[in-house]
Amino acid sequence: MSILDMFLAGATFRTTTPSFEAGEEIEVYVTDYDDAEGDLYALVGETRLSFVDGSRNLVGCRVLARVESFDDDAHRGTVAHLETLDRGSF
Amino acid sequence: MVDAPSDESPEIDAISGPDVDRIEFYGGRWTSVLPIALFVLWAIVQSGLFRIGDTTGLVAGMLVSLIVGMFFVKGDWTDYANTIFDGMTKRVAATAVVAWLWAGMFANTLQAGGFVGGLVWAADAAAVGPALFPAVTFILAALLATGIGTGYGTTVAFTALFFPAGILLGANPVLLFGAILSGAVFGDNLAPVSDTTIVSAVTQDADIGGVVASRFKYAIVAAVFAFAAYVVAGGAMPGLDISQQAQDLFIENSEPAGLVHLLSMLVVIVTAVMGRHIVEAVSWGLVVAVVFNLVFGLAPLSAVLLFRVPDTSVAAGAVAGLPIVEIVDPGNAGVTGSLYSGAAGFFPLIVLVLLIIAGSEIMIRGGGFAAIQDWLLDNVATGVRSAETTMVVGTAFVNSMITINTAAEIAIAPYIARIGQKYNINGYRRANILDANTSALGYIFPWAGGVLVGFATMQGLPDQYEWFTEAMVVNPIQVWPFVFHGWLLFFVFLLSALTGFGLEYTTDRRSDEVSRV
Repeated sequence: MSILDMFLAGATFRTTTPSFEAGEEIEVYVTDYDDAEGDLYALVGETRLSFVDGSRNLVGCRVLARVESFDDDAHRGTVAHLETLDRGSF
Repeated sequence: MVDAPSDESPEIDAISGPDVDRIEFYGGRWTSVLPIALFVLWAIVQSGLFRIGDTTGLVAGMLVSLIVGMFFVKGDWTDYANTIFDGMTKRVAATAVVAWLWAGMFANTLQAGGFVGGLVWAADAAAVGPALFPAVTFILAALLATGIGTGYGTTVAFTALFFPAGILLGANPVLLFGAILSGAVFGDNLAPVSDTTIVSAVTQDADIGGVVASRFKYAIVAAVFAFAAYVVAGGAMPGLDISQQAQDLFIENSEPAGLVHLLSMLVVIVTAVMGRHIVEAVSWGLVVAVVFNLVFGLAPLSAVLLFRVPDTSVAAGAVAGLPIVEIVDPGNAGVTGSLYSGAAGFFPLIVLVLLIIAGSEIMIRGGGFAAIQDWLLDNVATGVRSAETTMVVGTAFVNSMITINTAAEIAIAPYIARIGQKYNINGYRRANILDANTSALGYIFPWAGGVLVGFATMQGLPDQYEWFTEAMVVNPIQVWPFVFHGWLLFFVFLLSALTGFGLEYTTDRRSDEVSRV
């Protein structure tokens, strides 16, 4: 990233529901575990990405994940956990 | 093949705060807010209602608040007492103390060397009129603060040096003070060496260079409007009517040679920007300033440091010839000079800061901060826009409550991290929201550290200039509407949170992490 790009990055009005494409590898913090649905998920804005496999001890961790499927209309998708990178500082 | 995280991932602990002794309060964890809340009330009554800007009075207020808080502690009071010690010995407290002591010595030495005279000469020669002076002051203060990274140090230097010059030139004192504070806000927010910048980056797992670059877009928008506002307000708000004789006397005594101290300031800025420690940077500036004072005949060594030795001392005869010794009556014995008065001017504030940090530590260990966080997550931060708005308003609120902005920033940083991570808001964005309001609100309200630092400096001016009367001292309660850059920065971020301007997600780009604290 050039210095100019660093200064200009993010200078847009960003949506609350970002989109992803299947196959994309992303780093996300795992938001929560939904007891009722048995669903481990990460919110990116208000887009909900459910882990196809995961356990509640990942909540709060930063993980590398691959997008498996994504529904652009519902702003929901599924991701596969690839690697646990670390957990948030707090 | 998908890895099963529960099997493959490393053991991950439950996410919780650092393991420290908790304090139980009658009435639950909200009661732990009491010492800080009482102090804020005291500060409002003392400085706002009674219009007494005595910093030592605030020290008394914080002491009383800490004592009152103790009566609400369940069981043994030892933990409460120990928490006061723990808070006071935090590194953030020492950092502020050291920065002030050094900045105070430096600013006073520049002052002894006729820097104000140089500035008055320059302003007079360049015909910067009273209307433009606050706007120019804002820019110069912003530059200095960005260079040395300490808004408090900038406030001290500019209140001691630019403020009297501006008043003599007919600028409005309240507006001038607001412009100085605005410059301090700008630098505190943007400087890579600023303690608040560093805290914001480190706590949000982002690198400092990337954080500075990413916050430029917000800072510059606010600064452009702030500059315009100072130009407009400078034309609309009249200055004081200083007697023509005082002005003439001052301008007659203005001395272009005093401007060499721009180089002293440059030494500090350059060494700081080169990444040297702020203590080292200011020390070099101090050495250069003293040398310039001597070489250009701006001030004798005795103006920097003078031992007033009583004639009754056995050593009086032997040291009488030294340039830093004056033999006096026993009643006048003492130490004087810019090093002495520069440091001594901060003693009450230093004590106050230590006590306030102790109070906020009690609030953390008593669960008051956690209570606020839980309430926010459950009731307010329920979507990404509302989460960001909560981060902006929450940071503003905590910073308006806790006088010393770095202490407030450290206290709120975990909330910003947790709320932001819940929605995968990028570390740069979180750091920017955190630091903007920390910087802005730390220089606006009457009890804010930045305002008090300036006020403490200003109170020394009547002793230094015959023409400077007590009436010219700006009361902290007067200045809050005029810290334009601070207010604009707050509103820029409020609008950004509401509209999504500048919002980035963790999936958009990686914030290169700096070493964790």
